[in-house]
Amino acid sequence: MTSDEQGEIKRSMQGDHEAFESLVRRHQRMIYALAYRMSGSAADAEDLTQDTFVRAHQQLDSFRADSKFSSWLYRIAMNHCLNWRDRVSRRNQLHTRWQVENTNNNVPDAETNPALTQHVNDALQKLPSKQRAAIVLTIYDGLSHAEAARVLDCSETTVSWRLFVARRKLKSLLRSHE
Amino acid sequence: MKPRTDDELDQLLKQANVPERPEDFWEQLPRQVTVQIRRQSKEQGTIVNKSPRFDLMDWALGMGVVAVVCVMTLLLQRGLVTQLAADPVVLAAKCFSEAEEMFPNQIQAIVFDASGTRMILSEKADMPASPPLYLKICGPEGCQEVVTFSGQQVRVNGDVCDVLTDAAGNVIVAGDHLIWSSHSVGNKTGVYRIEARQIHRSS
Repeated sequence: MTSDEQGEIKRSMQGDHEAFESLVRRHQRMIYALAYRMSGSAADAEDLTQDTFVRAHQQLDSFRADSKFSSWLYRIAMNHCLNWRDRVSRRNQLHTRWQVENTNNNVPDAETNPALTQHVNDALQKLPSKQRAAIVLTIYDGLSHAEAARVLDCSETTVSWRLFVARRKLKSLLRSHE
Repeated sequence: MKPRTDDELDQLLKQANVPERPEDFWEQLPRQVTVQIRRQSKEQGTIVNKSPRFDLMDWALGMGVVAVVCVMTLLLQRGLVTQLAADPVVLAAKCFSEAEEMFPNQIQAIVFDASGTRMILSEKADMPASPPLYLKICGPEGCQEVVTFSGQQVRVNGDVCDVLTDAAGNVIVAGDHLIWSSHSVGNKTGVYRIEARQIHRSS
């Protein structure tokens, strides 16, 4: 964490909104990428990203300077994405069963994504959310298993196991791509 | 590319980029965040600034609840509610009320079945304050009674089902092979019989 960032955090805690906007600018692309990979939708990723930063601001007092701000943000973002995913899953199941026209916008943005990206995205969305989280954190964001375990609040062994299972599923899903 | 090894898979996954956003999106996002923060701060300010009169009411309500629990406990000890206890819904509601006193906003479900009574708690006190629901599900293996909330899940014959309520207070149980609603429209429950209703918190 740079001294600039430390200063921004301190001033944000004191109510300086411009300092917090600087923090948002510093981390917004990282959080957006995580939210997009977890949700599969650009529109949902926007909402999730904005919500993450609002929650981070609310919880600023709980941030400990001995840890990385980005890791702390990751944790907030990932928890929010996982909870969001559970709510959407329950709502979508109910819509299907009662044959209500489902107007949810969780369809990936196929118009701007090439076919391969779309296929990978589809495969990722078929994973259970915690397995997807392990893939996103380690393969896309480059976290170690230990760092991912801290973000996901689970053991390193659990992360390793989820990765193993997720990779196996993804290989199977992606092998079927023509 | 059909990935066979972990390395091949990782390479393939990394080829899937996050769609680009226009620059003005990144310029506006920080401001949108702080606008939302200011809005929420304003809303929270109207709740936090309670008058002493409301504080007194909260205290009085709290004492009232404690008094009711004490009376219920005494009545139970003296066997004066045995008639009430014969009604399973009342019994379940009472059990829930007592459990909620010990674990406020943490109870996900209380299950009553042949193996006894089990309580399922959330790790944090973050359960919503929605009305508790009583469910009775009877099948070939016997009956299971549950006190839970809209948004939770129950297991019926190995099938995980969502428990939901609609705006009219009707209870819906929905799984991969089962659909049931308390207002009996389009129910598909097979060999299972389901009863459900909202119950009232301690009173």
